[in-house]
Amino acid sequence: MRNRILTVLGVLAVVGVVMYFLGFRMTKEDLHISAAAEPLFCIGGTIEGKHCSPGTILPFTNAVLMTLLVDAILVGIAFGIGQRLQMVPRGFQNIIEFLIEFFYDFARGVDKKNVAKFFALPMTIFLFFLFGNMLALVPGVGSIGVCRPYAAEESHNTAATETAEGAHGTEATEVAAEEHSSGTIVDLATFPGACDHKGNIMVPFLRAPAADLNVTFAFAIVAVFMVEFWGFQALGIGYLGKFFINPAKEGVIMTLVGLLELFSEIMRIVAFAFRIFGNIFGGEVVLAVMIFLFSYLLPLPFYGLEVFVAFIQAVIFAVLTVVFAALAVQAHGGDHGDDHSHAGNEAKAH
Amino acid sequence: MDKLGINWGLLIGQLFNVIFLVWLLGQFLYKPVLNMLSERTRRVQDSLAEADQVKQQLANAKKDYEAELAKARQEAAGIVAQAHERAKVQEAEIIAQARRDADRIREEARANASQERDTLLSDAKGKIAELVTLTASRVIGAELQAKGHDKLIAESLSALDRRN
Repeated sequence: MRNRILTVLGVLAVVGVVMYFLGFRMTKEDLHISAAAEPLFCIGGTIEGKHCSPGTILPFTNAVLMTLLVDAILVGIAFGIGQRLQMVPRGFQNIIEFLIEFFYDFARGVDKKNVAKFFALPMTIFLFFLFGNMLALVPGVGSIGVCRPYAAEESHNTAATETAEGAHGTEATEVAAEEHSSGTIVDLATFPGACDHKGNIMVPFLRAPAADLNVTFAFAIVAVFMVEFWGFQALGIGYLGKFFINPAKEGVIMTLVGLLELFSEIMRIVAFAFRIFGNIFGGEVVLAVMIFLFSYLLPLPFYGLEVFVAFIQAVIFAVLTVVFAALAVQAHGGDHGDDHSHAGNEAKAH
Repeated sequence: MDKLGINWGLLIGQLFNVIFLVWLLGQFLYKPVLNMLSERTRRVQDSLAEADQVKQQLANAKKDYEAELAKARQEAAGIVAQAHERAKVQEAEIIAQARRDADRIREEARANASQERDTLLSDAKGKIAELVTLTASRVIGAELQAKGHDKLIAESLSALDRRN
């Protein structure tokens, strides 16, 4: 078995090297990296390169399309499986039940009393990002798209995030690119459906939802808002006692600690949003760079890594939401001050 | 903000999307699935308890059956033993009866035989005495005296007895 795998890998490596020198490879111009999701069309405006014209009501980006796709899948699961559950599970129902039970058991382990109240939000976060991240790894997502004319003078705005070198769009590199691409036997840009990058830009139809900050910020805002909401619901106005500590009673240090806690609560939005964005977007960049360096075999281990990251980031977002929610509703426990402050919190809560 | 692609319209749209998804999945996916899971747990526990109960019942039934069987076997053995006993007694009785009958028959036969012999002997004795007397009187040719006559008969008879 091992021999067979090694044989296959060896053959692929040889074929890869041959293909590479024939010209089946990414050029610098193919390597478009954009931290922002690119619009497919603009509602109430026109597309200008990679952006919508000023005054656009809503840019319909590739991340929005992917979000709608994931939404459709989740809604399809809800109505196709959730409404047609069978006592003896079969097929896909097993997977969905496993995912939900797996996470429910974890959430119950964190906070048994309030798990029913919390559960829907972190579970949705988990499912949405799990499906979104995994679907984003399907070949074709991020590589199939529309070829769009792209004015070179626009590039100075986005140069830093567009290409690894940041020098795309200047006349010098274009000339260099032309020389470079003409040096190979096969020119991929002449293939049907290919996007030659001389003044054109390929905008993929789909983009991982987690690689769009609008999506991650939306989830982060809802998560943090709900955590604070549950905190107030459980402890009343006494919830604020976790952050505003009377210096006369607990000391000045505790007051500062409380204010730091308040700051960290707010910063959780940013932390949540950028953690998953950074991981998923970063993973895409790593894959793109690896494919750019050598398209054959080299991206394989990174691909495996990205599958793992796709799962683990969904878990982390959801688990942290559960843990923060559990901490927020508990007057005791966690690292929120000492016993005296907790007693004070409870007294205020009642 | 623009480089990172943050757009207030999109952000608000995504916020609504999140809220919609959480509500919809909570109502139509998690709730039914969790209900189903707890329902299944309950049913499995019930069936396991039921299976235990049935097993217990079965074990009890088997025990009862075995007890019944043992009792029946014991009874049967008792009956057989009793029958044996009775048969033995009857056998002994029959044998004893048979022996008694045989003894009685034998005794009767013996008595009959001895009686017959006695009768025959006495008859024979009488006839022999007559013959002896007749023969003697013929041989001797003389009338013997009454005393000597009787004495001679007695002697002949005793001689006959001895020979007999």
